[in-house]
Amino acid sequence: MRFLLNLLFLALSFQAFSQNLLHTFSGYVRDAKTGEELIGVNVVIPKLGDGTSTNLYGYYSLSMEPGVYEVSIQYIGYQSKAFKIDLNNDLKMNIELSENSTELNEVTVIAEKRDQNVSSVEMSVAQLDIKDVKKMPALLGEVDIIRSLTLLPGISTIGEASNGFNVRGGNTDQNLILLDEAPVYNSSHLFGFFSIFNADAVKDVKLYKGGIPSRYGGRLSSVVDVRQKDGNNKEFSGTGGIGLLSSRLLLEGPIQKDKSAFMVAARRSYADIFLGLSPDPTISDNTLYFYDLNTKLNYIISDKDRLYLSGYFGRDVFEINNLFGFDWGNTTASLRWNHLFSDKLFSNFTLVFSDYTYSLGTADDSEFNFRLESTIQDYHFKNQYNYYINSKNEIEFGIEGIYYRMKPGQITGSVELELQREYALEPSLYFSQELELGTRWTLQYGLRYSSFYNLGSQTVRNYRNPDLPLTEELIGSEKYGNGDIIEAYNGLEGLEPRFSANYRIDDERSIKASYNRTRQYIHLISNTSTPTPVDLYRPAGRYIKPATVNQIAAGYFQNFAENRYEVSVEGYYKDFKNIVDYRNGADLIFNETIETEILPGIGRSYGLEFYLRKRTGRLSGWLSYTLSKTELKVENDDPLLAINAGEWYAANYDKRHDISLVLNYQLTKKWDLGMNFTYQTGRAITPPEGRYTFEEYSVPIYRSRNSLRIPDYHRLDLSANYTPEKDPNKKFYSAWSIGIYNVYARRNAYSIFFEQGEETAGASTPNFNTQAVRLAIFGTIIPSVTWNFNF
Amino acid sequence: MKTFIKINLFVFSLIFASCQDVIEIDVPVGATELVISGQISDKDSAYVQLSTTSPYFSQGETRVISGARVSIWKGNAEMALLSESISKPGFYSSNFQGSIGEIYHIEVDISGDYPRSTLGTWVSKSDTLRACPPLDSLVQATLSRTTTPRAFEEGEYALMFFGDIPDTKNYYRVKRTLNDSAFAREIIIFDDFGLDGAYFGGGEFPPVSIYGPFEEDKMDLEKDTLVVRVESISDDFQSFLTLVSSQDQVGSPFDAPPALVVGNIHRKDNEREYAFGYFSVVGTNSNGLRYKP
Repeated sequence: MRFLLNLLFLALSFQAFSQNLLHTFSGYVRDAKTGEELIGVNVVIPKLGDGTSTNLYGYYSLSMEPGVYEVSIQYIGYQSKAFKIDLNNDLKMNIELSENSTELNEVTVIAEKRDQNVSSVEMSVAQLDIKDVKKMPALLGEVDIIRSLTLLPGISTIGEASNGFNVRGGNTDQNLILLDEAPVYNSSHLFGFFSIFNADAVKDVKLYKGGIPSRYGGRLSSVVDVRQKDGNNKEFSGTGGIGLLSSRLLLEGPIQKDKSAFMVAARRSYADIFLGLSPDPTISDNTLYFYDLNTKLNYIISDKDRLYLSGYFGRDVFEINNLFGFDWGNTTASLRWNHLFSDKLFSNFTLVFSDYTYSLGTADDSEFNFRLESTIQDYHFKNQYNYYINSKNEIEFGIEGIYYRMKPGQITGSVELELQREYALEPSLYFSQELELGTRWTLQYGLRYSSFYNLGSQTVRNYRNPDLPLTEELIGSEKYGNGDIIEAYNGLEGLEPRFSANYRIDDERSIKASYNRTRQYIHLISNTSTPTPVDLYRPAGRYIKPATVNQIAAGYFQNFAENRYEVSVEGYYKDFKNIVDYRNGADLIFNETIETEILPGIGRSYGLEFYLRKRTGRLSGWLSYTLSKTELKVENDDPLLAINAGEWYAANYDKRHDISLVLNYQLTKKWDLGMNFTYQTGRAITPPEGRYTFEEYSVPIYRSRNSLRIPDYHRLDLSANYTPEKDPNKKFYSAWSIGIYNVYARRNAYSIFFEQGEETAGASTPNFNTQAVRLAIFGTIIPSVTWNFNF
Repeated sequence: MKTFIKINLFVFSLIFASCQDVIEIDVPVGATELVISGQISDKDSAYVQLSTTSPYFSQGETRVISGARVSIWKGNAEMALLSESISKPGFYSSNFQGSIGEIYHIEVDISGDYPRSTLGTWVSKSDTLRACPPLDSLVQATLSRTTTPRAFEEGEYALMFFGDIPDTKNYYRVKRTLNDSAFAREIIIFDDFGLDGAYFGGGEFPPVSIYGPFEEDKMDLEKDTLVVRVESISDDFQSFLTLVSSQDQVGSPFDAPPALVVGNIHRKDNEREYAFGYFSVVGTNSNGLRYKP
């Protein structure tokens, strides 16, 4: 720890000493119409061949020698700005950009000499413009950010109706999903059909697959950073839509013009209403719906201080025959305070509360009623600093603390029972520096140090072999008081180095490489093909170890045709340790001795990702291709505990080839057409290699885990968006979106399962027919129509 | 609005048209292995069935193993030698019945013209014969959504009155037969987790609705006769049965991955070389009810 602080002090001292003669050009970049801070805007000084981009709060800072400079502000989808500054003193300038209304014209493409894709040290990043996402074909017209991300290289799902997503061979629980810095534990509605993010309320989304900055930690494979809109601080406005599945409405406006604003967005599905109209009681007696609410307030206290308060509340409700029901959902709240200590030192203090709760049970008036509830809550404190030394040198550092409270299970009703609650603390600190060396090299290096403390009160069971806890080898227990440390992970293994480098061959080409080590202290306890809403995270402790992954990646990036096209090829290799797998037939729900069901394993994933994108013009879109392989290994001396006889086996989400083609064509000023095509080789499943008879059961013999592939998946979706010309005298305007999902009605296999048929007639010993059955989630085309409006 | 509702119902009918269809697919074929299953109880004859595994899609009859020596043991004492049925090769039985609280296992010696992997001596893991609580009565009652216990469909049901044995962890398996026919592929297991010593028959806990509704419009003169048998089983057997029933159809999004189902039989000189199947040691009680329209 002392070593880290010394390193930070030395770095800051050295930089301060060498930068005394510079002046700072700084400020915020905002949307001219709404006042929203814009993230990632390029602020370029052509004379120096240098520049920066706005941070997650729209702030930029450039320190340069005194002089007159031309400044170019560039942001895709917005009109560029160019102006001169006379930098004889520090200069603060808030810049407003207007949306580009002439996107049809090919000539208006921003002529960036060094596009962000090539010049930035960032690699393995997936980013989508929300406006583009809204134009894409969507299942039932529900604009889905997560589903759209899976069309980018390296990101996939196990299939339709899957909770979560997989990034570069990582399991679904290895993604840190942040909504205004608050972690979200379940990113899906309706068992994975839709994401919880209401696209109307989202300003920016960015997914890190590799080269993960040191400010992020706690998950192995990716970070999805979703930022909600701040609220329009210029004028009151609204956005909404009525679709087949749900309706939504967003309202935003100034509380005090240019000073404070609010945003509130609500969405509710109404499948339950329509199911209720069915004459079939097996359908009409069921209930299935979701709703969510996004809120945000922001207040500009002064030039140096700004407050944001944001929240999310979402719920899914599912009831069967009015007798048995589930409900689940996330609740988050974030309070953030941006403070400028100086033009060069930007800080952000964050307090976060996050809760994921599910409950299931019978109706309260049942004669034997019960309700099982399970919760994970965490409380975050985060303090981050960005120190802009000069245009070529930036330091970021901070501290973070997370306190977890987990209620694995509590039963109320006719019977009162509760599993032991669990508590944990995850403190961490981090530092990183981005440095341009000469004209060709940019380095970003950093270090995160994380530790984890599993805390009491709790009674911990002891087993004869702590490395392999078995129920029959329980030898006693120890009691820990409130706040006592049960297990501490605070050694050198908590060091998480992060490194990225960019070598610019010329203005249009670059080569990048990165290495990162990430560590994960909480695990989703789930052994189903895709996580269910009733799975819950459990902390590392005496028997469940923290997982780590080392990832190296390298890539080639090129833009051409005046930056109309960008292309990249990336390769990666990941090495997982202490990932969680489960014993055969593990019982994970309401299990007091969950450690006896868990088996530690290792994993490896490697792949190649190709990405070609055309950003502007009448025809825009991308082609992505991923070639990858992900394998896991669980060894054990006991052949019944080793999975696949201790040999490597494919992860069930492993898909060798994954191709996506996404196109949008602006037919006229009023009409644009969209198309998505996806092709994936089949995922891995486990085939039976024989069967035996037990009583009336034909029991399959499954030995070689995930050694068979289901048929390949492919699907075409189309959409057409009609946007009438706006009447300049009217504030209200509307547009229509029409879509067809699964155009050629392919019955894509979600899985193949093997089942027993009827007993063979006339056999002297029990004998059964057996068959393979293909399960497709969608068996036909799914049309949709949505009416969207703005005022 | 009506049009909107119609469109919506149409679209939802499409969504829920998720489909399953039988397909042809090649699967690997593993080696032939031994299968031993059987039971000893305190009320019925002990039996053991010997057979081998088959390729998954094979249509032929299961191959049985004849001529084996099958015996029941209590500790180091051989209690009974099971004889093979002439009419049903591979099926071995004895009139021997176990006693509550005693520990039993079986030994099976196989020789002859069978796959090499099946030959030799195999034993089951020793298990205690657990007491089973009496099944006090089966009573016919009219149930509906407003009665206790509740029934989704109104009609005549069979209610089971019984109590858990207190102070021990118990697992119970229920087997039902209607007019002498067992319910096909039915594994019903419950445990006393959180209900230790509870009596299901009034007071705090109502009786358990174990079957219904009876069919009222049967033309047969003979009315339905229901027999319920409860077995007190071990934790291991409960796990085995749960795993067997869970493998019946594995593959939906929320299913656990397919599992290798191995019971409590292993080679005598190598605990890590197992045979498939299970030899269970159970205490049992039963009761019956004839339906009155």
